[in-house]
Amino acid sequence: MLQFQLFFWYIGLIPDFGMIRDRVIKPWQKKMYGLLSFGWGGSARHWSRFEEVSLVLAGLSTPLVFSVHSIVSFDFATSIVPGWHTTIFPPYFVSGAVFSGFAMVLTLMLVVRKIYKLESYLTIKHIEYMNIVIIVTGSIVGVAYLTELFVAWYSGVEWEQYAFLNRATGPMAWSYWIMMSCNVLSPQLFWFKKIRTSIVATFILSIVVNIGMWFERFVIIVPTLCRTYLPSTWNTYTPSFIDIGIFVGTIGMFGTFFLLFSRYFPVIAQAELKTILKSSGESQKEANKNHH
Amino acid sequence: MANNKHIIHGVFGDEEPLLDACKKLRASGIRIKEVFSPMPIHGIDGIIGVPRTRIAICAFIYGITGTSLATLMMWYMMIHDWPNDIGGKPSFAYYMNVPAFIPITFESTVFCAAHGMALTYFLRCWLIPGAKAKKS
Repeated sequence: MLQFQLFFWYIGLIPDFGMIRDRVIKPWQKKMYGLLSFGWGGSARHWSRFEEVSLVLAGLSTPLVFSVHSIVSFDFATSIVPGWHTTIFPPYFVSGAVFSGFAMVLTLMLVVRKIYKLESYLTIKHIEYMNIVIIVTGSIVGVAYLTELFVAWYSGVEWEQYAFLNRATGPMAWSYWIMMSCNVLSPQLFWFKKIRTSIVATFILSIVVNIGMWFERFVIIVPTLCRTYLPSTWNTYTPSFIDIGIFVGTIGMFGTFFLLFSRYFPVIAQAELKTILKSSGESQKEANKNHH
Repeated sequence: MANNKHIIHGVFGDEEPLLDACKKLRASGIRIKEVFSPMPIHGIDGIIGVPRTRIAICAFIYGITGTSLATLMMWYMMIHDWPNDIGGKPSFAYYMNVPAFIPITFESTVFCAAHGMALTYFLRCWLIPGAKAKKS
């Protein structure tokens, strides 16, 4: 999966590296981007292969997303741990991944858009459509939470019932209710057009969704493992230094690579943009003319 | 016949004049060796006489290879060499246990198709770190 993503990501970057290599002046920059561009020249044959590869890799990666998240959820669902042993996990994890992915992209994109002044490329319309995806997937996740509760009650299995009762009312109920309010209630605000077309509101709500999805993983793992079959193993959770270190360190590592990328590499696929620049520019001109 | 060896370079500021010029040149029987552009120009392959790329057919063949290899591996491990009785479901024959084998079959197909296709693309276009830009 990771290698697949790397291929897809890098193949898409190569034409832009070629473009940067032809534009930079300093010799070390020419050398660096020359090395990264793999000798891209932009001939018609290469472009036709490039488009075919992009199309097929995009087509393959869509079912791959479903398969990866389903299989990760099977790791939980095939266990016999109460609270994890549920058949709803695969669709629930897939929609949760789309939900948190869109929120994370919005958080980062809105900052980059502001700093690099990309307002005319990433328009309010894009942000609004992303927010609509967030409402849809957030509601699917909400339905999954309620289905879990219903099935736990309906199953008649005491262990299963206790696992969910413990999540919602036990010593870590605060994490469950943070998850519920951040993931299920907060995205519903995007039903208002004023909110889903407001950049400040979108930025705040996207961070709220990120927090909610972090707590979803916390709720699935921590309260469940604190209350297993053997009451003598019951415990509460306090993070160790290593836990906190991994948490802070991975965020820091991601931030470092993200900032390095946005400083030295193109944040928008410019070769792709050039294919639609003229048509969308002209239609925009028409729209402006009609507007006045 | 020495005239046939002459090479003409043309520089265009936009894709429409380029496509027009390509059509006219081809109609008057002049061979177009290559077109370089900063972005993909749709429909240029047919106009300058570049055959449609067969890289998707390669990907299909790599995918089929991945399916076959995964099937062979799982049949050998789970049915032939070391059959296990998992959850009261003995491994009598491959087709009886197929649901359990679907995820690995899918993953292997995608793995082989994507890697094979990407590597074929790199080699066929000779996109190698340190390669000289093909601009002539």
